[in-house]
Amino acid sequence: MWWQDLPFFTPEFWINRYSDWDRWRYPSEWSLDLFVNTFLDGLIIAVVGWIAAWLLERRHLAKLAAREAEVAHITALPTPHYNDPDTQDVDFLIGSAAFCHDFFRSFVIFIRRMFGGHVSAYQRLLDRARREAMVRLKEEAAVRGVTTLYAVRLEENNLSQNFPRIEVMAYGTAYK
Amino acid sequence: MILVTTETIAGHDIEEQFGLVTGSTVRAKHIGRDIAAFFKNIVGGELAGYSELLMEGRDDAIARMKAEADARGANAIVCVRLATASITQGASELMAYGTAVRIRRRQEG
Repeated sequence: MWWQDLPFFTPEFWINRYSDWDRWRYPSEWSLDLFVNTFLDGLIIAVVGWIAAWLLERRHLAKLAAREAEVAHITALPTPHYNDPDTQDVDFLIGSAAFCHDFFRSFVIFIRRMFGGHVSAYQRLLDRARREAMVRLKEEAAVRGVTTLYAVRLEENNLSQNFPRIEVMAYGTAYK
Repeated sequence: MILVTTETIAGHDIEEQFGLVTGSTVRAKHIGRDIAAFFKNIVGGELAGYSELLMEGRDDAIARMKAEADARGANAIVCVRLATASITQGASELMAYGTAVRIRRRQEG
């Protein structure tokens, strides 16, 4: 095939690229060419991932808004007291979602943390996960024909020290 | 076995309490899921593997808590709380705890 002769697909290309991968440690070796050879592929992956993440997030938020509208009639209350004597049935419901954001945004957060202040990138991730978990909980309630959930608790959980991964869980009690 | 997050159960009276019951489990996914999660980190979004892992673990923890309550002669658990601890990358401890009680449906009138 003609494309097999392109440099990208030859082993020499990759051997040359990575045999001296740690040359950037020595300032005397620094040059634009070195920078491009060492960091460009990572940068391309991060930027492509960033654009993809942006599109996927927009699509997800649009879907989420539609699903939230569908379960808008269900109320989730954190109130721990409920004493309606006509209660027939009780159910324990859980909704959970594990989310991560892209590497590029981790870099943005890294820069932001040097200056401090409102880290909106993290805020968006948490908001998204929390809304998803809440919608899942409410959808469970909708399946059972319940309109109010009591003693709902929200809990966030960091899944990793090195990667931006969080899990949000919402749980509560449905009375029928 | 009835589980609620509220302090009491509506329409029922608590006759007797048997103290704190707990159930916990430590879960991990196979390495394929971890690799998939790494690639997912490039574009962000939901980590389906981890969502599944945590929900499976939670079901397990709740089942163990129920078994403990059963052994004490309870028929319900009130004030159920779920807790999660990340021990290391890809492994989590899921825990459920609550108060085991015996309940009876309140008589009309």
